[in-house]
Amino acid sequence: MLRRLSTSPSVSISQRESQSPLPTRVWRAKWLYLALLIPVAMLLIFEWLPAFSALYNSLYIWNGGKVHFYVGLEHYERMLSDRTFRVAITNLISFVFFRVIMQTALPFFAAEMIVNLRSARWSYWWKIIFVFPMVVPTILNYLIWRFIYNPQVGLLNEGLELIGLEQYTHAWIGDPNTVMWALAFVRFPWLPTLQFLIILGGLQTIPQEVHESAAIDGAGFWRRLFYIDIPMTKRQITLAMILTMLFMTQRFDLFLVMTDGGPGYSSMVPALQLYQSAFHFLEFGYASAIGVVLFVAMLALTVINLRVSAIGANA
Amino acid sequence: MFKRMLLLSCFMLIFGAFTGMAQDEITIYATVGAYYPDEPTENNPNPPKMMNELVAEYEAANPGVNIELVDVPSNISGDQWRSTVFNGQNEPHIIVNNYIRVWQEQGNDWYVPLNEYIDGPNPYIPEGTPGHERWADSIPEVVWNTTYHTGSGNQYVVTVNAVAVGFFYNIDMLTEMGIDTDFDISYSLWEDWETMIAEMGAIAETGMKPLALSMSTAAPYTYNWFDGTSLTSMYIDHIESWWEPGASWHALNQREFACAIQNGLISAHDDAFADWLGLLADFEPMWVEGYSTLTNDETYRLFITGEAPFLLQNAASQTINVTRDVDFNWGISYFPPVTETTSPHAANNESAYLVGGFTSGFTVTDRARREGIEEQVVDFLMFLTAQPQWGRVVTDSPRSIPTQFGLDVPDALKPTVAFLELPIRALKDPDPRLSRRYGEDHRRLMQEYFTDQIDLETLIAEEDRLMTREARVVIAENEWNCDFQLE
Repeated sequence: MLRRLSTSPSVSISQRESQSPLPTRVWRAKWLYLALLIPVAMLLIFEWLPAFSALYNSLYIWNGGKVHFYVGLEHYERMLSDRTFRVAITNLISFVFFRVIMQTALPFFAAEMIVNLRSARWSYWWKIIFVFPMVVPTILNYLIWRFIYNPQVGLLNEGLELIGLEQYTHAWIGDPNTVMWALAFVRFPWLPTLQFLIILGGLQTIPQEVHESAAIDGAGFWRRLFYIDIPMTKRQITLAMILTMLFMTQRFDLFLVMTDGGPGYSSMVPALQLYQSAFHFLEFGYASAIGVVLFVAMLALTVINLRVSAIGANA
Repeated sequence: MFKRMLLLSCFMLIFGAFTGMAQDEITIYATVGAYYPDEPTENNPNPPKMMNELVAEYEAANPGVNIELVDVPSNISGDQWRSTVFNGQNEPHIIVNNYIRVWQEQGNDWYVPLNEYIDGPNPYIPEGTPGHERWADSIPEVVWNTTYHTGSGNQYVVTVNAVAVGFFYNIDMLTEMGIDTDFDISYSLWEDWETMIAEMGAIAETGMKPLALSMSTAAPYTYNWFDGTSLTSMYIDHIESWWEPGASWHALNQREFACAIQNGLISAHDDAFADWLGLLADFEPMWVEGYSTLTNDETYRLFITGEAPFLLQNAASQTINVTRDVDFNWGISYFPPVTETTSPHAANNESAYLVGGFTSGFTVTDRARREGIEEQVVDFLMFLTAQPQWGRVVTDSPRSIPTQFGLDVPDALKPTVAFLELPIRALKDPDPRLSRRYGEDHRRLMQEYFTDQIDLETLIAEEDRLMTREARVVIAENEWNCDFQLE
């Protein structure tokens, strides 16, 4: 009786609300809509408009100033014969491939380690340790790594000299043969906080009973890993992989700060080429075309990834 | 509560807008290049401060006028900064800029032609001093000729200082290695390019890379300096045929160089071009390891810590720093001439060519016109560049050699005066020589060649493709006619 008394008025109010005409309902909530209008307008102006204007600008030669004329698909044709773009794509594929594997596998093992700890206190402190790098500004991290790789006074070469391996000292980011590896190793041991938290969250939702049943059935750590943990966190792993792929494809700050794409084009990636085309060469049209191609490629990869994961999950 | 806050915000926005409109004071924003009065820091304990005094004096004499000095962020390139502020229409009214950049950007109508003003009197220059009756007369004709834009017939830049580049060298270190530190010729340690290569090569054979320089595209780079001056030397017999009619020896503008490419007067397939590539390839083994990613600051540190006996740098602004930072004996030399010992194409060079010179000056931007305060902005520029004021700026912090008549060269910069007497290099840095794209791609191609990623044949083919494409683009964008070189 009490329950009926408490719920029935609210149901009737919401029913009455939904029966009112739309303009009346909007008018009643006008202040909320007004407040919503500002962030939506900001989002449209500063996020959506520039993104969609790229499609339009990719059909023009535009120097950011008064030079602005239609050239159709010329920028896309140019991209096909652009040696820099080809090198950039090749570099990107190898970099993203390496990072997606590392930035998914290592956070997964770190999360596994934490959920397997018996001491809640230790588990807590390990989480803090893994999440702490989040507060260090990324750019600072890159500058530290730049110093580590410095050929004359860098920590890496100094360390090699210290242990008698001076023959291996090297201009790590100044040599086209080592630069991409050196950049791939930046932020070693690749424990990105977001991916780590996503996977940790997934592992923590696996019911304890499942692990207990597996233990009773005699499953060891590896069996449990491959037959329980990985299958049951497939969605989280997929999400971590997609996010890593998106982040790494968009990433140009690392390359800009560490090498600016050099020596030559040996560490050029499309996002950096886009940035340079726009803000260094004032070729906003060509930069927009690169942006459009990147967007389409990322969208396609994400869809493929989701489809493959869905097939895997249903199999 | 929420409604009240929303209304209050709207009211404040509207009130703020009206308050701004009601102001009748003028604020002039200006960049002043190396003379920006920074706060002292550990690395820069004595920053220039005279600008603050001059601003205060001008504001006192002109009630209602405020001057705000603007520091250009050091973490982005000047090009990026300008494209951002101009497109956002919040550019300062006065900008220190390289005249070549002004030429490259004039299609955007970003700068105000100053012809009318420089032909008029400058009241801040004392009577009897050159420039009092005609502002232009305070600065030598050669400076105006250098910065004059032949294409438009306009003068956009007031250049009141000159700089040169040079090799700082560690006398103690070189003496210890048994290397002669006396000048072979009036401006250089070496009588010719080959002597320089031989001496530096002797140091390189001991396992030390002798020359600290940066070829990094992530930072200001010094590589470009000898790229332009050595190319000038290789084409000495041809450059005159590239000039616009009636010109005398000068730094070529984009039109002249682009047309020379289009008209087949210079090509990457030339023998002279191949000799030039060979010259650069011979020089590369002398550069410190990692030169392609080192910044200027990092190369500077290598010199002051004694890890490299030579440093290629701006001979004006870095002189103050070197004087402050090192405890060894040092000197400053200039590039040697490239002669027929290096290539038969360089046989007619009588000297090396000046890198630097009257490169940067003050420009007045379109914002002054948009806001209707052009006269006031130019008045402040006249005040700032008049000899009594500019003399104080340079004396306070000798970072460049003043160009105006009646001003002395600061003692610290006297060794570089001989460099400034050399003829200007006809071919500037790759970037202002043709286009930004050319500058960047050319540097990257050279890096690929130096690091054995591409062979000579590929380099020449890529250079040819790049030069041809960029020449075509700049000619088309500016609708230039190139017939003058064929007459």
